[in-house]
This record gives sequence, C-alpha cells and structure tokens, in this order.
Amino acid sequence: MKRMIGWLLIISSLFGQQTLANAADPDQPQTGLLLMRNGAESEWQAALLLNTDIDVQINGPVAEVRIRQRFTNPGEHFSEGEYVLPMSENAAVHAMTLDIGERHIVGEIHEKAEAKAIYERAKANGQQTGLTEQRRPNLFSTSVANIAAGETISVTLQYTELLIPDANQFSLRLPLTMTPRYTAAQPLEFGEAPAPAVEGRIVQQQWTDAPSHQARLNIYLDGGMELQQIHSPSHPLTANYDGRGYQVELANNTVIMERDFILEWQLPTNAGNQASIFTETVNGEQYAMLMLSPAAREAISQRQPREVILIIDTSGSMQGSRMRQARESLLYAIQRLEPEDRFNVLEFNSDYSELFQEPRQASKANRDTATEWVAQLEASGGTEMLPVIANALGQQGEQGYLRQLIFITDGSVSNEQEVLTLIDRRLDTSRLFTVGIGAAPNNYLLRKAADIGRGQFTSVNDGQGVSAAMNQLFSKLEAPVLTNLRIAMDEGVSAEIWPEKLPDLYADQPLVVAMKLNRLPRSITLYGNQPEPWQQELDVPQAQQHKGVSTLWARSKIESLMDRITQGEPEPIIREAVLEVALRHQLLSRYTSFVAVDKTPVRQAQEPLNSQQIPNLNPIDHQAYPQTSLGLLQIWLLAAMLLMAGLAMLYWQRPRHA
Amino acid sequence: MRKLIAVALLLGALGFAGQGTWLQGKAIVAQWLIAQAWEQQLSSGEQVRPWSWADTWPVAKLTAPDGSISYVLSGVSGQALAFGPGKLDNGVGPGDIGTLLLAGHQDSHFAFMQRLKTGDRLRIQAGNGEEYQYRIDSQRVVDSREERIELQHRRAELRLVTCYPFASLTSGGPMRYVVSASLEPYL
Repeated sequence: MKRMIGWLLIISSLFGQQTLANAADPDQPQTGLLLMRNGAESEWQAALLLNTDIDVQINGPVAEVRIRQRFTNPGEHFSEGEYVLPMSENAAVHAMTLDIGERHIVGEIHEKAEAKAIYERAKANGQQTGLTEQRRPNLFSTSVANIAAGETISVTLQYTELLIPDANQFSLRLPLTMTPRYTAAQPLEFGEAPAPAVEGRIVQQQWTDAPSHQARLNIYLDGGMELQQIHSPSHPLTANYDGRGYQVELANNTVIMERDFILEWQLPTNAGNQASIFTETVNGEQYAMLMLSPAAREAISQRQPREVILIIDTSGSMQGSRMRQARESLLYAIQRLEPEDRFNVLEFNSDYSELFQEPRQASKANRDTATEWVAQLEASGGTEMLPVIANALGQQGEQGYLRQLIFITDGSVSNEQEVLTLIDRRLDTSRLFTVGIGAAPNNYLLRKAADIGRGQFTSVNDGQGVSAAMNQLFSKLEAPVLTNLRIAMDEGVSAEIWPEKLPDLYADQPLVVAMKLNRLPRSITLYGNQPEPWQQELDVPQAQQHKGVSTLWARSKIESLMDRITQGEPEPIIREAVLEVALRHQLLSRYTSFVAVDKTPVRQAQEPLNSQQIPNLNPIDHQAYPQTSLGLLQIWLLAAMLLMAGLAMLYWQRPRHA
Repeated sequence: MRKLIAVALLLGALGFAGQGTWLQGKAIVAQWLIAQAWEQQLSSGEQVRPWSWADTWPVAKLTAPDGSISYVLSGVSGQALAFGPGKLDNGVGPGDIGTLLLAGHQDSHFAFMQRLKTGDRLRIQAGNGEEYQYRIDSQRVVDSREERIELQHRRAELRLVTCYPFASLTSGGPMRYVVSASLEPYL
C-alpha cells in the first residue's frame, strides 16, 4: 500500500508539471483556459480575460474617447484583476463607470489614497468595485474586485483630447500596449529591494485568435469639412463619407493589442483659418481654447550655421525594426547637413560613445565617416539616458552656431522625471528635438522632453517611412522660429491663461492656449521675435460652443502645474493646487483617482479571492524568443509511467489468486 | 479497488499517448501538406496556403546536414510552429544580407539541431527556387529572459533557434539553443 501511495505521489507530481506545460502550450486553446500565477511559489489560477471596445468621436480638433474594458473571469473562484492601461499623454480623463450586467455604477473622483481606501474596504467587504489610478502621465491602472465565476465586469473610461495639427495634418494615437521600460541602475542601500517595474508584466501573444487582449475600434471623424488622405500607418482601413463626417472602417476589427493605433488626416491647404476659438460656459464661467496659426513668415535673417548633435538610443529595446528606423533617421539627418554646419553623433545604451571627440565640420569626408559608423551600430544593453544627455548638453557650443540636439529613441525608461529635470537645468541656449521610434513608444517622455527642450517632437512609424517624418522635422529645424511669444487682448478682458509661458513656435505649428475669462476678446495680438521683433493681429472669429473645453482648460492647468515640479518647485505645494483643480473638474491626475462601488456584497467573507495582474502584450516590433518546445518527452514519459504503474498493479494481483 | 486504479492508470496512459501522437502526427502530416503547397508555389509563383484555413504559408525549404527536409512557415507564432519551423518576419530572406532567423520545436522539426556541429552545411531554398548553402560557425545557449533577439544587417547569416536543453521535461523554459551559419559564396 505504501508503495502504491509512493507511485501515486510521483504521478500526481508529474500531473502538476503538466499543468505548467499546458499553461505555456499555445497548442491547447480548446481548454479555453489560460493558466497563470503571480510568482513561482503561488498557485495556478485561471487567467482573467481582458477585451476592449474603444469608441472615438472626433469633432474638429477635439477627440472624445470612450474606452470600455471587459474583465471576464473564466475560473471557478472570485477574482480581482489589475491591468496597466496605456493612454495618450494628452488625455483628460473625466469619467469612469462600472458595468455589472444591467447595473451601471458611476465612478466618483477622490483623493488618491482616499479612493484606494474606499476600494480596499469594498473589496474586503465582498462588494464589486473598480478603481482607476494614474501611475505615470501616460500609464494608468484599472483594478476590478470580486468578479464572480463566469462573470464579466466592464470599466469604462472617458477622456477628451485636444489634437494639435502640424502643417494642417492631424494625428490621433490610441496606445494599445507599451514597451517594457528600463529602470536605470542605481546604487541600492543595503537590504533594499530594487524598485518594481512600473508597467507590470508584459508577455508575448501566444496565438492570433486568443480570447483576450483584443480591441474593437469604432471611430467617427467630423473634421468640419471634406478631408484628404484619411489613413493609418498602423492598421489598414477605409473611411466612408456620410455628408457630415467619416465613419472609419478597419479592414480587421478586432485588432490585437500589440501595437498602437494611429489615424492621420489632412485638412485641405486652403482651409487655413488663422485663428479658431472654442468656448464652453460652466457654472457661469467662460472657458475658451484658442488655436492661432501665424501667417507664413519670410526668412529675413540669413541662414545661421548650425551645430547638430545627433543622439541615438542603441539599447536592447531598440532591437529589430526599431534599430533600422533609428539608423535610417540618423542617416537622413546626416545627409541633410550643409558643409558650413558642424555635427557629432552619440550612441548610448548602458554606456555611451561619441563618433568624434568634438563636433566637426559637416564636410563630405566627415559625413561619410559618420555614415560608416552609424551602419555598424547594433542594439543591446540597458538604457542609461542621463549620462549621454548630460554630456551633450554640457558641451560648450561654438560661437555663432545654432545648437540643436536630435534625440532618437523609443523612450522606454522609467526615470522620466530625472531626465526632464536634467534637460530643464542644462538646456541653456541649446534646443532639443525628439524623434519617437516604434509601435509603442513612450510619447510622454518624448513630447515633454521636446517641450522643455524648446524643440519639437516627431514620431516615426514604419507604415509611412522614415523620410516623411524626418523631412517634417528638418523643415522646422531650418525655418526661423518665433520666440518670446506674448498675447495681448482688448481692454477689459481678464483671463487666466495656460500655459503661463508660451512655447516657441516652429514653422506650420499653431499656438494653443486655454483660457478662463470674463468675456471673449474681439481680437488678439501676438508679439514675438524671429529674432527681429514681430507682431500679428488676429480677429477672433465667431466662437463655437464646444463641450469639453472646460475639461481641456483644467487639464492644461494641471500639466503646467506639474511642469513646475520638473523645474524644482516643492511637490507638496503643487499637489494642493492640482488637487483643487482636479477635484473641481472631475479629472484623473497623479493625486486623484476614480472609484466605483456596488452596494450589495456578492462574496461571503470565507470565500477566497484570487488576485492577479493581467499582463500587457509585448509590442509587435519588440523582439523576444518564441516558444520552441512541445513538451513531447514529458507527455511520452507520463504515458509510459502510467502504463507501467497500471500493469504493475494488475501483475501484483496474480500471485494472491495462485 | 486495485483493478479500478489500474484501469484508471492505463486510461491515463492511453490519453497521454493520444496527446503525444496527436502533436507529433500533426507536425508530420502538416509538413507533408506544406511540401505540396511549396511545390505548387514554386511552379505557380503565387502564395499557396497548405490548407484552406491556414493563417501561414511556406516561405523556404530547409535541408539539414543529415538530408532531412523541413518546410519553413511564415511567422513564429505558436500556431505556425506546431506545423513546421517558422521564419521571423523581421529577418531577411534566404541569401540576403542580414539575419535570416528560423525557429522550430526541439522535439519535432528542429530535433536535428542537437547534432549540428561547426562546419556542417545547411541548405535552404527560397520562394523563387534559388538554393543557398550556409556553413555553421557557432553554437551557443542564450537565456531569453536576459537576452532578446539581435538581428544584424552586415552579412548574410542563417540563424536557427530552438529550446534548450534538448531532453527537457517541461516546455516553456527560458533557455534557447542558437546556431549561426554564414552564407557560402555559391553552391
């Protein structure tokens, strides 16, 4: 008998292993269950399924986006799921609801710790509850607790985003996943654990028709006129005009959440209104968004020679097609230099290296040397951004040269704040331009770095080719810039304007400001330097009432306040100011979260609750090794052992009867 | 009671044997269908799916040093690999400058990888019928948790990837066996 128990133990331990094989074996979709566990020690549980419906209504330059995420529990126990949700860095998240069957629970905004406490209390109490928090400016997390066996609970988030055109071209990006971020090496205090990754787990999609991580998109685009070239560099689609706007039809709807969705469209060139204004009145207060496009300017001053420092990210996350795009962007930039310019190339991963000891004349010979050097660059290692940026910004520029840094990266780091602060401190007269690479770049860092670096952000994607995007960037680098911008309005108009300090304006770029004011001005005068003094008076057209303007104003104010932390102001003071705006305007922020709680408890205290982190999918262009084993040996071994055990048992019976 | 347990154990054995036969059989039968699609593709010059509901198609024919042939499919998803070795979409094609990366299961199509040694020749036929020969210059084991795939763009390289160790009890392990071969000037 003892022996039999021994055998059974061995066999059951092998069965345990089998579960593991099944979990990783993409060949078993018929079970309909993905198994996962939180760590090597914890138990296997049925993975929650997560699918997304995204509804986008674009009205002029304003996009209203509704993201509905369905958390489905295919297991047999109550579950809690947490998912890290990437969203546009410009999203003003203003509503959240929880849907359980027919019930519809509206989420409330609370101070972050307070919201978390409400959620934890409801969870412990067995109530169904949902929480959405901000982890990073473009990374949010959604948690849902007490999802019953076989049940689906949906969390719907709603955000407003102002789309800013570039040379009459609009672009909408819906981030669907993210690249694992690199956490910069830090000397750890003794006994201190390394900081956990900000983005949670990221896994490879195992098979194409998986029952999870699929998104269905519904997009309606009303540009106010007939549009040109509605297309997507990320997903094939068509757009059908219905007399008012365009219904966007994807060739394949649903899409796998392994790359960002991008939609681009072009306004007719003659559509160029010099100014447009959108207003909304809320609680007796008037809010306005103003978009000004200064008329094309003649280059009065002669071309100033430039000192261009090209910085390329050659870290591990750039492997594959990203490295190819980055290399092509770099080669394009080198070819665009004029012989009177000076340049240098820096590459960085865990360490950095320079092409030349110091910037050199962009002669044919030097450009050829650079081209050769760039061709041999390969991607591997970490992403240590601080040393290379410190070096590039620390060098003394040559007198009489315009110093421009071009930074080519996917932005996959977690020390964004340190990077931005460093740029703010060391920028001086240099200008920093960023080029974003890949199917799921960290656009927050790229855009913010360009803002603080008083340059421009350009996004490169494979579908469109590198040259179009780089061409756009260079037309900005080469055209004169409007600096020291200032707004003046009629007598008697008083306004709270965000951002407080207006950015420099590059070619084809509109100025966007958000205002809270007592009455609309009739005209606005813009003053600046290019570098000669420059001014332009613009008539304010008939205001269009537009829902969401007050939300955009509040978001703009919060962003400007958060920028002050980068500039060195103490966070507690900023926190108070942000809290006030965010609570009043119902906005998700670093200090405020949405929480929704259903009234009646569904889970008894003694019933267990499985908690799990739902992973994000590895972006399509981020290389990882495929699964290359069927586990056949184990299967045959199990078969053989069971056969032997079964036969042995039959055999032992015989001597007794004899 | 004993008899009952014995019967249960034998049924279990049958079940696993069935699963093993199914996986192995699928790998073999699929290759046979893919071979036909490949021949059709070579003569017609158009993409042919090996069976009507397949979401992949053959892109190359690989001949191992021992003469065994496998038909390579487009993509390295788990689905494609069940039927044959797959070609990484981001890599280059046969004979081109850059890395041509193929991945296959260590216990079916790429079982031959454990016998490969430096100097062995691998032959590969491209979709246009051209044949190329690669000579193996290195083998190494990588940890996929630490290292990701690095493609190079300077020389014509064929890289084969499979799971490691070869006689592993569990699938889904992190280690990979990588063999790298260089294009020989001509056949």
